[in-house]
Amino acid sequence: MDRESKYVLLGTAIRLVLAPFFMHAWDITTVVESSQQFLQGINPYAYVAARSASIAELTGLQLYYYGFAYLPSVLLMYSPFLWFYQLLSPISNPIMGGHGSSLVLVIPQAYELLLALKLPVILADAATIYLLSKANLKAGLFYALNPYTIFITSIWGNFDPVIGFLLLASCLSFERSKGLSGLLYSLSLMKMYSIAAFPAFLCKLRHQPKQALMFFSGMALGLLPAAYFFCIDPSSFLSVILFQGSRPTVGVNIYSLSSFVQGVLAQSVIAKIALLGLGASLVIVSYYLLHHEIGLTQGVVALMLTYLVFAPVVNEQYLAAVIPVALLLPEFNRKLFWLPLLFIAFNSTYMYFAIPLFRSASWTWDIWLSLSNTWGQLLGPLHPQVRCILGVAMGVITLKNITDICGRVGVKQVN
Amino acid sequence: MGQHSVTLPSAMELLGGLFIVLVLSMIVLPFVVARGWDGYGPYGTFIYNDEYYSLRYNDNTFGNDKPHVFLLGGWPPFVSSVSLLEISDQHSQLGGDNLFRDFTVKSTLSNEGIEISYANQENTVVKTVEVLDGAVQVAYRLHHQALLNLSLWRWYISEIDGIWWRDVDSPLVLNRTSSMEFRFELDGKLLEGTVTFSPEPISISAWKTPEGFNKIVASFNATDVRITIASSGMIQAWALSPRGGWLFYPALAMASTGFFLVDRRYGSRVKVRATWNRH
Repeated sequence: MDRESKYVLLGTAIRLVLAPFFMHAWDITTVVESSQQFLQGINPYAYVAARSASIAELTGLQLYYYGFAYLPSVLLMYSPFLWFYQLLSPISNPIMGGHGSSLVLVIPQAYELLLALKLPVILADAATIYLLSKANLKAGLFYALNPYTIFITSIWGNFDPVIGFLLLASCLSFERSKGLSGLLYSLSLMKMYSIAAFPAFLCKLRHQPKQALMFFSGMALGLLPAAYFFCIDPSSFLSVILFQGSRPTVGVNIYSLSSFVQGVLAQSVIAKIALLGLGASLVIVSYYLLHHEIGLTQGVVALMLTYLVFAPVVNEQYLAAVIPVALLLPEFNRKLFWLPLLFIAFNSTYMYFAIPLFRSASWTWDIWLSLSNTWGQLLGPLHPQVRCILGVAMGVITLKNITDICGRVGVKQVN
Repeated sequence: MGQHSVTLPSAMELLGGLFIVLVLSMIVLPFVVARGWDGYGPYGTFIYNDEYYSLRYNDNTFGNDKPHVFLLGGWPPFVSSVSLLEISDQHSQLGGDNLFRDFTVKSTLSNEGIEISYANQENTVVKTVEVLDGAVQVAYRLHHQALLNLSLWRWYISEIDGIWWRDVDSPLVLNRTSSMEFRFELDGKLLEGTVTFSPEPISISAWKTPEGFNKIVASFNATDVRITIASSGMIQAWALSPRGGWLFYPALAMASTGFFLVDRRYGSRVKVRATWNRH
């Protein structure tokens, strides 16, 4: 067996072992809720829009329901696995109340569902490991064993690693097939933040109209599901998608400096400033790419890292979408993942993800309560300040890495 | 005569400059005093701030802080807050029904305050929370007269109307009164708060724990009930603490900006791993 396959098996085995016993309750509930609605013929965008309207009407504030807010390719990815689980299991939904205050898990069916839902992400990771190993064995092994990527895939259960795989595959296939590259890139727009990488592709296509047409054709194909949902209910679709652009600042970024500010109005002002900053930063980096000979991969990574520095919302899992393609670059700071990984401990806390594991018996749940309370009492008061330090550090170090990737005058190569 | 040329900043320098501007712009936030009602959180927690009071009115998924009144002291950014008194829906009843569990609740910002409507098959009541004339006024307007038990909480109260918590058993039945003074300890000092009732409650009682009084229950049999909460005490700004310390955030912003500028000026060299191929 070649080494690439060994690394794939190793990385996949680790992820499969952990997958059933951990989850981010809110995000997994979003996936289950929206996939279930899709399978039943209900428009998830209409549901989310209606819930948001209800909250706004109840409170008089412009607030949103934090449900499904992604492109419909996510539904196409998850629904088959939910359907397959429900085909085999007598309990169609063993995870309930994840969007409320009382989570209910039916053990062991919850473990089976968690494994089923994480399979597409694990498969994407397996493909990433293979592609990276083909390019560079060390990169493949790094990804296979990286605690952060394992955490996001198997413990959190979010699908940012799928976006990472699609971006990687799009870059790798760009020279060979523009149409395929465009299709893969459009699929990576599931969470929309990968739109930041678009200028990198445009820079490479600007003198090749036929190739550009092939690329955009591939993109159009990948966006057909989005076009469908837009056509059947444009207002719901747009209100849910555009919600991403109106969220208050949050996450592993410099705007954690404003985390003590309370109030929707005040937070919306900060978010607008952040959006302007994001727009300006992407324009600056795109301008740089336009006037310098930089590879596609460098350009994509530079723009995606710029997003992580300046975007109003940078959740802990976003870096997982950048790491696969960034590992192709020797300049990428491979230690960057420690910051969002530590951030999780002081945000949701690691104990939150371990709820399914500890719910297996009443004595294990007592242990969970004890550990959770102890952590809360000892370190809970420090959470905001630690998050702020990590968020600002992420901004500073990532910005420095962007400069390294784009090149500096007088850079000295050290072996 | 020599020609002067203007060197435009490079894109990376512009990016760094933008970063510095954004980070430094966060420094002014603690100096901005928020005023008036606002909301935050995914389901609508309401926040009020002025120079003296901060109020928190929790969203409908919580039964406490309905509202929670905090006393503010100091000057931005050296502002600190201390809990004054909290009204709990979770331990309050109307006509025997629990205000948190047994009613459908809708809360909206309205004019100068919050308006909360409670409804079930037995009764409806509209509660308003406003800050008027240096005091917090919580008013209940019932559709028809019923017994209203309201619970007020603080962790902890040392003295109520001159009665020290150690000197009595729990529960303590207080004299009926339309105005009540309470005192609590803060950093070795006693601070004062007042609660006025309109109309006069038909009964008032206080409960205590081994640490002090923590709950006051006032019962009314009327259609219009008003509770006014105020404090005559002023608190001094606390020293920096892990929980407070708004100064922490601008200090971190300046430190990170300084680090970034120093690194750009003197710069560490990028290490290129020769064994990793560029793609």
